[in-house]
Amino acid sequence: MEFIKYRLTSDMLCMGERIKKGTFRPTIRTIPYTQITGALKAVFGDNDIHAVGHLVEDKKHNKVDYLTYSPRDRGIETSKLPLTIEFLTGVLGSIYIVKNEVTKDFAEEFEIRMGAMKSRGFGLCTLKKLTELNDSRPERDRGVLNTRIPEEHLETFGVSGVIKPVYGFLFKPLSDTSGVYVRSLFEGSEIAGPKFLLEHGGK
Amino acid sequence: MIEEEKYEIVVKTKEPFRVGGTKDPLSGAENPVTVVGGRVVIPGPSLKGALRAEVERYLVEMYYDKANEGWPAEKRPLQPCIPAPSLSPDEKELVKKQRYRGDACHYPCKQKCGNEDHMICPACYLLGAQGLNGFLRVPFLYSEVSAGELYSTRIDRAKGVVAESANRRFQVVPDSSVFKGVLTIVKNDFVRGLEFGKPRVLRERTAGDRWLELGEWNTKQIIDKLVLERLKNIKLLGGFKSKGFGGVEITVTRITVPQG
Ligand SMILES: [Zn+2]
Ligand SMILES: [Zn+2]
Repeated sequence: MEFIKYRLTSDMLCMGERIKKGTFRPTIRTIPYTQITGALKAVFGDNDIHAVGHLVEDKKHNKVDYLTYSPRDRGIETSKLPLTIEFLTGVLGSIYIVKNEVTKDFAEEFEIRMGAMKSRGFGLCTLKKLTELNDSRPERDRGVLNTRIPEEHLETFGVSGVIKPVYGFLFKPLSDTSGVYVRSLFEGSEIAGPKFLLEHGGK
Repeated sequence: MIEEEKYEIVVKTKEPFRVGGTKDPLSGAENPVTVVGGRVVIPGPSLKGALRAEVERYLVEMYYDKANEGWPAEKRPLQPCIPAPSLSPDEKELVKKQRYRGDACHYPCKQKCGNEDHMICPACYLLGAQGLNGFLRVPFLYSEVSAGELYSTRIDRAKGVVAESANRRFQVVPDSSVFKGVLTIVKNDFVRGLEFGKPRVLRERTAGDRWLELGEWNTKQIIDKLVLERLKNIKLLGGFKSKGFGGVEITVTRITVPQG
């Protein structure tokens, strides 16, 4: 099992989905399998691509900010009920891509768009290759999961045991406009697996 | 791979802009300038809203039949929608007068659409509709002024312009401040089989990009008339009925990327 580690940076990233009819769009503070894998497939095609990520713990990065804006009333040229977006600024994260025939040739540095509000200036990310984790058995430990992975892909990332699961659902797109929710392991779950999937590297 | 065209957008303020806060109590205008991550910005949503307003206005001025107070039937696909789940009473009036289409563009059509399949209007083609991405990515525009400098700017420039107060809410950026960002147009997305200027091949139920089947618009015209000219035509950001506030001048320049 081999992984390629990239550093992810972004000016502003909103990983949330608007709750139906809500005026507040919250963000999440990790980089789920579905989000990063989908963003990579948008660039490199619907190929055999699998990736997860998490934010780097660092006081200078990943600060939460809010932006409020109002849609316009066409009739009287005033604003309607304002919407608030929660997002992260100065984003620094780590991405782990499963190394295979498709991903081994990815460039040293490239851009992707990830998360919500991509047409409004959010989500432009730069990925820069850092290292390859070449061990056939990456360092493993028990600890707290730092990302979100669909159950069907736990093996792909070398998760060998689920000790205390925290389940949730991730949206898995089937086409540009449709998809299904798949049961997934969320951050905070206790697992046995490679150290890069664990909070504080397993400590 | 995705083939993109990039344009640098430069916004120069013609009047002082107050920073932050949702509304300016003096003019009732929205404040489009705000501080995000310690930087003074015009947020993408504000710019996108202003661009969309210009595109809509252009379409209405171009195609609405003023003499007969209606939208010509053969030009129906060019009628802009109001992209909101529910309409205000004043917006319903605009729909009644046929300046706007009543249903917000969406994809795909569902049972509740009845027998009628809905089209995607030009504004939504460019900027995105419910369930369907557009071809434009509107950026945040950054100022060279940092949030720290802004404070002293206020002391120098704000006197007599906005209420004097030590409160951060009353910071202003002076006129002739410059904001910059890069607009992206997706020209070709080989993965998804999208080509800018062509009707999209959509597999689910929809009337799709009918306006491009009229044969009136080609790629160059769309970029020139519906994107670049419309951006340059934005004279006010944030406020729509504001006075002496929010005035801007916008220039747009194509960025040519060296080969390789
Ligand atoms: Zn529309
Ligand atoms: Zn419909």
